[in-house]
Amino acid sequence: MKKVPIVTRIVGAVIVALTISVAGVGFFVVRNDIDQMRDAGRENILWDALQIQIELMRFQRELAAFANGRGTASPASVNDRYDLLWSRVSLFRQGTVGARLRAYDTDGTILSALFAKIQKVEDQVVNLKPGDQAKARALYREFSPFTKKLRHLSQTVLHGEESNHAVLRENLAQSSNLLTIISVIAVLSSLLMIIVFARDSQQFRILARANEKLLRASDQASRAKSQFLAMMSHELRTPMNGVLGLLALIRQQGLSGHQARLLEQAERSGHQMIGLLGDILDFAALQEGRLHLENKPFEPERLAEAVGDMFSPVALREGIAFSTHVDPSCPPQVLGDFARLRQALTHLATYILETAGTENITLDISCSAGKLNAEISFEYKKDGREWQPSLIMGGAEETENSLASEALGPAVSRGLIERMGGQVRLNTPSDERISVLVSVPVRALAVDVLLIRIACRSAALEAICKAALRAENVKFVAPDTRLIPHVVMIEAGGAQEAVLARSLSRLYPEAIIVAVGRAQYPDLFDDMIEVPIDVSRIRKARFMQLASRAPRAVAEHHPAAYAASNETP
Amino acid sequence: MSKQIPGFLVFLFAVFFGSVTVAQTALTVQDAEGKIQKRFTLSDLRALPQTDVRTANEFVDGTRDFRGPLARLVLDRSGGKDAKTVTLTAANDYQVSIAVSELRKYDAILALSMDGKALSKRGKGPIWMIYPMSQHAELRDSVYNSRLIWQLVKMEYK
Repeated sequence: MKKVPIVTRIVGAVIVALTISVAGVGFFVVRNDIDQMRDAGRENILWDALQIQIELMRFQRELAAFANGRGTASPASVNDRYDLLWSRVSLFRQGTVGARLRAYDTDGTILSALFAKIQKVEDQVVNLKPGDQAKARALYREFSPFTKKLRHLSQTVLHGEESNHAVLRENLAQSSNLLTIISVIAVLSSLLMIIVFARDSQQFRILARANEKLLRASDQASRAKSQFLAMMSHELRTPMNGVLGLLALIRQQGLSGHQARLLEQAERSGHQMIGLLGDILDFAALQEGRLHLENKPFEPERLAEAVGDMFSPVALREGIAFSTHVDPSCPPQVLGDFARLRQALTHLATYILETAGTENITLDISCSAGKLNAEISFEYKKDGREWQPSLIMGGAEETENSLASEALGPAVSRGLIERMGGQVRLNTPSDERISVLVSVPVRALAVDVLLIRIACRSAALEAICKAALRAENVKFVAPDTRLIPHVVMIEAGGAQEAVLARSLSRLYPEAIIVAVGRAQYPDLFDDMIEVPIDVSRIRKARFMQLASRAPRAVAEHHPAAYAASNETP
Repeated sequence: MSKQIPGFLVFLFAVFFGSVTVAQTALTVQDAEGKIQKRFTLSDLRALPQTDVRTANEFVDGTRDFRGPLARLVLDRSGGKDAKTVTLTAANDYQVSIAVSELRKYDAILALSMDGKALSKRGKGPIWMIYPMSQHAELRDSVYNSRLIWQLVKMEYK
């Protein structure tokens, strides 16, 4: 199959060359034809030869009439005829017509001789007097031999031109035959080209179909593997949860110190395994591209806190200092997937902790030009054990190491970040410090007027909410308007709560869903406010930070203070 | 003395008739009914606005300078402004018909001189219809060769 394009290329080149040369030949043939046509358009010199013959006859007739004293013939009329004869014969001396006539008078015995004779008798003709009949007769005789000679010349010209025309016709016939052949060759070569390309494209189509089949097969195999992996992980997690539950029951039975330590180790291993299985599930989802990302408002501040919450216990156990810092320039709220970002950053920090042999790790969160940047910085010792940047950065070919269990966390993390459209970079500010820089595009959420929709069954509660939230840049949205609210407040309690929360979060996927009162299904809500409503607390609620200008009532609460450094040991 | 006077008169007559013969008609122009509209002497033709045509043709060597009035001008001056065709006749009775539109399209002249020398009767003179063949490739054809009528003596328009 590999040979096909080369063969096609050669055949194509040959055909193109053939067509070009055929076209070239055609061009020259046509040009030659045009030249011949131009030749055919030249003066017909048979006419000129005949005219000389006729003019000589007229001159002789005039001489005879004068000699016999017939009609109006006079010396003047003889001279007129003489001048016309002179004019006619002198034609052979000039121009291309002259040259062509001379060609038929090769030995100069006809035209040249006639012209010489005309010149010779000039004096006699000019000085002809009435009554010079004898002189006229003598002149007549002088020209008599030329009658026959001119007749001969005319015949020579006639036959010569006829054969010239025959040659021309023959040439034209030949070149039109040639043109026909050329046209046939051109058509045939075009057909050949079409056949070659059709054959070629058919082979490519076959190849494409084969490739498609292969791709489908490999895709199917890969999906089967992922599905198997996901299923097995799920299947393994269930018994492991059972084991952990039993371990928790054993712990309640008053164990000795030694037994308790062993149990703790067993529990930790179990939790690790469940974490690993979760990672495998995520990895499979990423591989299949079916991982769904949320796009909801969250606070960068909370992200740092959440990573700290998950990572700090591990750091504490390993005896490593961990601190977080959020840059005050960050907007209070950004749009993104909070849980997945937290997962990605926790995985990265965990991998660093497990492999780099460091003693302190810091997490700095800052925002710039539509991006959320997280910098995980750590002290790197040259003997840093299994630290492999390529596992975080990706791009390296799959080695045995990249398939090790410790590679799973970084791989999931990298996959999540890439899925969010972000990127991971490595920076070494000094020999001893390494920074892993994660940047993910986020949209800062800041609005001039905060639109709030309140969905309370109780009119009194709704009125209290409105009174508590009323401010210059807060507007309440009625259910029947087209305005899309930034915040939806739902009265908590009862089955109604879940129905409302689900339908309204479907209707406004980007809105913050706030529960008014203690929710029975807290997972459905992004935030909550306590009932009875505390006016000063509600104004400090996170969702109220959405507005670009803080409401007047909370003006003293500066965002910078809100985003102050928060260290978690 | 009395014998001298008639001799003197004869001389005067000779001069008079001689000038008449010098000023004889070179070109007559007729209308459709055969009525002579105009008789031009060579000096009449020379008195008309002259046009120069520098061209080659099959009857001369190389490119030559021809000079004379435009054919259409002569026609217009003879009342042939609306004529469709014109038939030209030469001293040897050779005839050719030309569409007047052709004379309006191309600057064809009734050449009276070539390279500054008057055309002689023993050459193509005194009047030779010249087409600007060097300027128009389509005129370099035997059809137009046959219209290069020389020793022109008569024009008849219809």
